[in-house]
Amino acid sequence: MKQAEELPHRVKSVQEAVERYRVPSAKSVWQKSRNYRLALLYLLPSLVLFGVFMFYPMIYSLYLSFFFTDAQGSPALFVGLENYAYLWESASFRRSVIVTLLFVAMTVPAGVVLALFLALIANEKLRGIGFFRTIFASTLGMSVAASAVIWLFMFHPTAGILNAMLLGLNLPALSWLQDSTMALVSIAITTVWMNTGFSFLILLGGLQNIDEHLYESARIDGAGYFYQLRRITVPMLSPTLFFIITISFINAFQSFGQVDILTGGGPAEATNLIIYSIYREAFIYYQFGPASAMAIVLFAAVLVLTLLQFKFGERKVHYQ
Amino acid sequence: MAEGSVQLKHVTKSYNGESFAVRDAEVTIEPGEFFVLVGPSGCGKSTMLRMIAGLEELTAGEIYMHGESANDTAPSKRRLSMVFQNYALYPHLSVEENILFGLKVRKISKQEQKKRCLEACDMLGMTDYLKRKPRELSGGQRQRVALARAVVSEMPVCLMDEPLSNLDAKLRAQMRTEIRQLQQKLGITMIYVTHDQVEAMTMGDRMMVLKDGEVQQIGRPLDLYNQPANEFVAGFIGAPPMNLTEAVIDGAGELHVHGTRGLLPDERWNRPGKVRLGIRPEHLHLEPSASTDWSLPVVIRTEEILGNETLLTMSAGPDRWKAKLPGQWDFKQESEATVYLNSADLHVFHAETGTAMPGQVNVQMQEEASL
Amino acid sequence: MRKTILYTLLSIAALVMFFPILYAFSVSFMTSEDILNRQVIPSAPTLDNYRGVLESVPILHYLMNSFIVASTATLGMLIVSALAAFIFAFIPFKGRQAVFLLFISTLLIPWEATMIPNFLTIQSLGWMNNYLALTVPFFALAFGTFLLRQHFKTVPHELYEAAQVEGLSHFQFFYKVVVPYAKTSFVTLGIFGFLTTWNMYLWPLLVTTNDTVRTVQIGLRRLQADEVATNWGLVMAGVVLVIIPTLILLAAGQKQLQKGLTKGAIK
Repeated sequence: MKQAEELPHRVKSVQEAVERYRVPSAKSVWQKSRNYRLALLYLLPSLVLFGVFMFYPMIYSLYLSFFFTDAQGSPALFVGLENYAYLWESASFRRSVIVTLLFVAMTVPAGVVLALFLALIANEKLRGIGFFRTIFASTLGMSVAASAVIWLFMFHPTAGILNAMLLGLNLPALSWLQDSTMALVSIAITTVWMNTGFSFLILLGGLQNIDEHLYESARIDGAGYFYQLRRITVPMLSPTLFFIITISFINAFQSFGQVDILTGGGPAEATNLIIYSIYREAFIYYQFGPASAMAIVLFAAVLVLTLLQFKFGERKVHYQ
Repeated sequence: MAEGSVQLKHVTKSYNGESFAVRDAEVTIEPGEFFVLVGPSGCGKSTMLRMIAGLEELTAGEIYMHGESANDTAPSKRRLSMVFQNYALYPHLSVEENILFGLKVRKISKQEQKKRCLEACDMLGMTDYLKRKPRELSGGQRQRVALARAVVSEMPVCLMDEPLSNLDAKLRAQMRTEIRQLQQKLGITMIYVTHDQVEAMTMGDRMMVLKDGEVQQIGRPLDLYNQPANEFVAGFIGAPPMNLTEAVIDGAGELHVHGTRGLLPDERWNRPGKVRLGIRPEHLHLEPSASTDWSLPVVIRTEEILGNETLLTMSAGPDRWKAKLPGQWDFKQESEATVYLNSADLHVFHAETGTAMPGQVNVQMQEEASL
Repeated sequence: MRKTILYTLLSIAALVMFFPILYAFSVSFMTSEDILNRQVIPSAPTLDNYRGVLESVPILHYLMNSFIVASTATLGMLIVSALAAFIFAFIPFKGRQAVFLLFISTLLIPWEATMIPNFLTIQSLGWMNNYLALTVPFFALAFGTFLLRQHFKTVPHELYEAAQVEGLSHFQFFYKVVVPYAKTSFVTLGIFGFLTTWNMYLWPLLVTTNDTVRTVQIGLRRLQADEVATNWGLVMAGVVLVIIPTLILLAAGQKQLQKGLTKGAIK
């Protein structure tokens, strides 16, 4: 016992150690704040730009949505929620919302299924697969203007190749962009085609991250291709799929160029998607107040979608 | 104090304000000393090294480098070099650029850079692959590059954080010797972190054993081996570890173990009650000799014949013991046998605290030291 | 058997997906007769359309503008994102998490929801018909910051500590160690940034009112509006000139892009 008693007094708690042995730092406030200064310096460009081009305009949009504006776009008269009430009553806006929702319903499932199909067949280890992957990804390099112009020509009622094909198959020609139902479908086709490249690339990446051993052991157990697809691929891919679904939703909400070039919102506002509607309200009719109110509605919709992605996406990831 | 010394005063680190990562550590490391920090993972040895390097702030206490308080000194101003576990080589730079990287930052003249690089590469035998990238090198070669980087810096103190743990056993043994020789040739202070007690025993001038952030014992390797301050050090140092068992000291000064009894070899131990008794595997013999004065019945369980020695696992009462015998022995498993030992080789620890009681070994060592 | 099915599927899919692009190429070499007859392959390939498009609209000027805009925006994006990503990966400070959340919150704001005030801002800054309007607003990008941060975090912490021991300043560590180490992520973000800015449509439409800085996408729209009734071959020649740079860039960087984007998107 003797030696144990001779041991020097040891501090019992961290607090005691701090009280007894803490050596106050001789560093100046300037030296201590080094990380802060560094962070501020490096983050400043981002923070300023976000402030000027993201946060301020977001708030200003909200502000503008409570006003009538003059020709220069300055708020002239406070009208409270009148702009929103106007939207609510505006047949044009309601139509725009319905068209946008229809458009989403057309593009999202079709786009995701198409991209998933392409990713699945391009994920096989075959000779020359790199060539096919590049082809499938190619629309990622296509600008909306170029894509829309090409499709505009293909949709052309007389000179267009699509109608030529239909006639060749002894089918009646379609008025792709002139018919109010077909116009939205045509824009949807163009949009799905344009967005496939990106979705394909991300899904392919997701597929390639799945552990090869899972398939090997399933094959040893005698599981068939579609069983593997249902029980391994889709569950393992679910975070990526979820990400792509969200991105597709947001892309659909933000479609503009194809509408502008293909139909100009017509015929009879049948393709007046929400962004196009905002554009027209603000930059053709110079109604910044109602346009801002629409922008806020759009923001709310995207916000809800993204939050859903964060919530469910996170949970899905944990399953892995 | 002199250049190259490192002193820790009440050094304490806590990450959460409640539990200790390092608790009140005190030590003075002399210039030119090879000092090893050893302990199981999570014992605080790396934290301590990183505090010395300045990569981690102290919660309390003070560190002196080269005789001056260094608490507020940036790592680069502490005049030390550091070798990391994964070598920390820059993958985009060649071996030569890696070695000279620090010198360039410190704006050392081109001539001097070249001279130091040549010297270091000569010393470490790596002149041939100066132009290669780290990924083209083997583990041992990368290790040498990391060492060369420390050598060219010519800093009086070098810190190493488990530098050999990624190498295979053979290379590890070779590098142990090389690092030790290098340190002696350069005359620098080395502070070396490892979890491997063999490295600690073979390389260090002195070592510090840590457990749960607490310093268990500081001293020369053989002193720690011969006189472990507590059960933990006794079990941690030496392979196979020291055999431990429960024993009782009675009022008559006799020691009772597994139903046998004998006289206490040291009267300072004579305090009635429970104790823990320890004996090193190499101090168990299967035949009596002039020096043995105690015998215990055991049952042989398994044996491992290593060529020049034989390891026996045996049941001694409720405990599993190991014995290390010179030469080749052949035993029947599950056979009964008797082991003989010299009571002077016994270690006695307090049953509750695990601290060692002063014993005969202690006396002998001191006598030897005074000769 | 399995291989045959796969190759068949792949070929059909590739044909369908790539058809519009191939068709645009094909039409751009056709005479107006071929076009009227709805040919798929030009019967007598001609470069007349290219000559025509170069004469009728300042397409080279538009292309130049697009190059300037896309490269500047990409470069700015890389620098601004890298600086922020460096802090989030290496420099701890109290409140960093909060700032990070602020960055994340920008992902919730669709660019289109802010375009009206942004347009007014550009007007009041006097940046209409100026390269600044087409580049500066895109320098800060939360996605780019996250992507680079993910890659920066793979830089072993030991390298950071070794740099501290060797006396590198933070900026030296940044450009001598981190940037070369995470080179590939810069390539990924660079390709991504170039593609998106090259392909921008709505914003250049708003902030350019004449040809001085107008990008090729808007040029294409004008070309189409002007020539659509008369000469589709000419329009397609314009389309081909516009898509060639990005298609080449994509083909070259597709693998890189796939790896990098997956990492940024999922983790």
